[in-house]
Amino acid sequence: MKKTFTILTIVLFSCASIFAQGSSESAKADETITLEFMQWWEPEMAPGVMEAICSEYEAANPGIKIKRISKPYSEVQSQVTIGAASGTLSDVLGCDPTWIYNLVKQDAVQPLDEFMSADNYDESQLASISVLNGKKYLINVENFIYPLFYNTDMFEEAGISEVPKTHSEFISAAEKLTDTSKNQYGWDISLSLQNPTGIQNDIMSLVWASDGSGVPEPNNEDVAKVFNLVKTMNDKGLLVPGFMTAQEQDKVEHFVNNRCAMMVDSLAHINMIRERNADLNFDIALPPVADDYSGPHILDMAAWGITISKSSEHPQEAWDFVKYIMSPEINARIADSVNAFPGNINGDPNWVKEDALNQKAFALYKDNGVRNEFQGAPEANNLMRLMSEQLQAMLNGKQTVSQALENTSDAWAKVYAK
Amino acid sequence: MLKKKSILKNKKQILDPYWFILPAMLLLSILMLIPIIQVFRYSLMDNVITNKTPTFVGLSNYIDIIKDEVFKSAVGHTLYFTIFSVIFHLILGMTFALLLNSKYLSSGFRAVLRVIFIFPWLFTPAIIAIVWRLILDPLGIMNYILQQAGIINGIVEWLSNEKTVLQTLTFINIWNGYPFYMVSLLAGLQSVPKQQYEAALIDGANSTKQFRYITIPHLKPIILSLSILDFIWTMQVFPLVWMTTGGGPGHSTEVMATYTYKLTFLQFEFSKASASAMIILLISMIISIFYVRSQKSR
Repeated sequence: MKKTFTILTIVLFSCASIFAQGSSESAKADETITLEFMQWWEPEMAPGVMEAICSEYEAANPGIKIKRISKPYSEVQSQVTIGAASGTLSDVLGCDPTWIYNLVKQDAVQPLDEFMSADNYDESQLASISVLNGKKYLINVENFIYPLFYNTDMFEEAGISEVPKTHSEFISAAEKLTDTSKNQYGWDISLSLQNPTGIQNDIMSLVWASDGSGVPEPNNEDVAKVFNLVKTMNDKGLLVPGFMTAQEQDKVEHFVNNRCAMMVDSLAHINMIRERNADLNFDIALPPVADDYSGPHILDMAAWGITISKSSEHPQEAWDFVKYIMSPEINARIADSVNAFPGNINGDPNWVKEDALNQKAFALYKDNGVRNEFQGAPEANNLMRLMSEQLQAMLNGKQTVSQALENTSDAWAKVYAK
Repeated sequence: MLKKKSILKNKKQILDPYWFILPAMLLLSILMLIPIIQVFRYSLMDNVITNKTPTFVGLSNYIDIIKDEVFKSAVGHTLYFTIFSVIFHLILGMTFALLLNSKYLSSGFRAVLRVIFIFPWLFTPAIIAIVWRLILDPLGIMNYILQQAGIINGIVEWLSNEKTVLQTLTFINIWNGYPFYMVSLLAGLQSVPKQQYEAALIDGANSTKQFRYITIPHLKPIILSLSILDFIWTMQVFPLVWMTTGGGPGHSTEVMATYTYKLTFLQFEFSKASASAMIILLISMIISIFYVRSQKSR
């Protein structure tokens, strides 16, 4: 017993001395403020760019250290949910605008209004700010548009000289482009339930293209037209098999490997497509619109947003870092790294001047409207999942288009009623 | 005075063992007991975390979960996945263990087989999911081989067709899990006294009878422990299902773990997710009782 007591005493003293040392070290470290910055951007950017941006900030602001927590998108999404629940979110947060509604609901992020007015911040330089309950919570750092990518070699081989502009032309082109003996299909979509953004980028992008709307009420003529289009394409065997569990990267992989002739995808993937298959000849165009539509085109837009955690102990320093990220030069550097359009309209990205395809992308962005109705919607990913489930049931022949829309509408109503 | 001292000494001696288990008990309490109590408390509220002033609703979340058709199908899928996985893990594990224990194979060839057979066990669930997604892509190598062999005509959507997806996932899990049985059973086989087989041979027992009356009784405790543990582990499967199908198409591969995950991370229904997690814990605990009893009987 004596021995046990002696051992316990030694252990306790050791622990006490370790903690005492720790506290003196933390006292020294108090002079430096460490800002945690969690995002999924760094893994998607060119190597070293984000590190350089943060290092330059540290050099210009002695006493501030940026601790980058860079993880893949899905992991950041999970971490954000956990961090918001436990009050341990990073000071500065890379945030998809589709997550912001729930973060505000959980009181996990700070309104930016006070910081902006205290600094007389020029809001007119920002392309988009998410406003909820009358307060500004999130700034779009980079915007990505989703045009139609098409394989020009396959088009030439199929004798198609013009990019399909309407749903009917789209079906007709897909029929000509599909050759199952070559494992070649007209169109590819990704309806995986793991990350159901295929609903936003493959399905709703076509609703928005004709200036349609589907959120919060999907049971309407605009969405019905697109559901009918997908059903026709599926019934005719024009979609790449396996799309019900395919993810976005599978779709890109199929395009790169000449398995599909057309896909709606992010401009951010242009470099990746070129890297994966340097011989692939492709171009971009506006996604098809409904047959009877003649108004302006609207492109699907996704964004990287930035916000400040409510649990941050250094909100002012966090805001200063946000301003730095949103400055025209830094914003354009990030944009150059991922083929995005800067959230600061004064940003002048170089990538749009690099070649004809990039110039065309910039022209599409400038000349057409952009929309994403899931940004700021409650449980946006859940809404997409619920629609995907109904769409899959419809494509499996378990229900009609109108039943799928009705069921989606009922399921969404429950989310909005929470 | 002496008596008092002796009583005190006795008491100290009684307390001694508890001092030894105190660190482990503290650790278990912090890592297991407190979270379980917290999750149970959450499960009795209307909703926590997103709701700053949660109210007590009793068993209402449990009733909602049990009544939910998706949860019922998730339980069915979990049982199908688990039962078939355990059965085939055992059959394959036993077959390969017997093969590796066979005296007819040279030691060199046996070593090569051992490496090949244990291979699936070395991969993490993420790698398994990626590798099998590529192999089973409708335009991938599996369909190509089967088409060339004349086994299938068209394209089979292994992971996207509601009719094939659950069986496909179970197959992947069987492939991944049998080496654990094989290694454990092989160790068991090597500990069976050779004299018993020799005596059985003299008595005229053939290989089947030797297997039935000597091998199986010797391996019975191992088989029992492995099966119960495997049942508990497989029942909680998440990464493989999530990374290959996400529970789809529709809800055709929804298992209890993916159902709970979706409640938490997509629907932000933390209380219902807690209730679902408690149900999984309860089922696991019931099966664990069988495991503990089987261990005690040994």
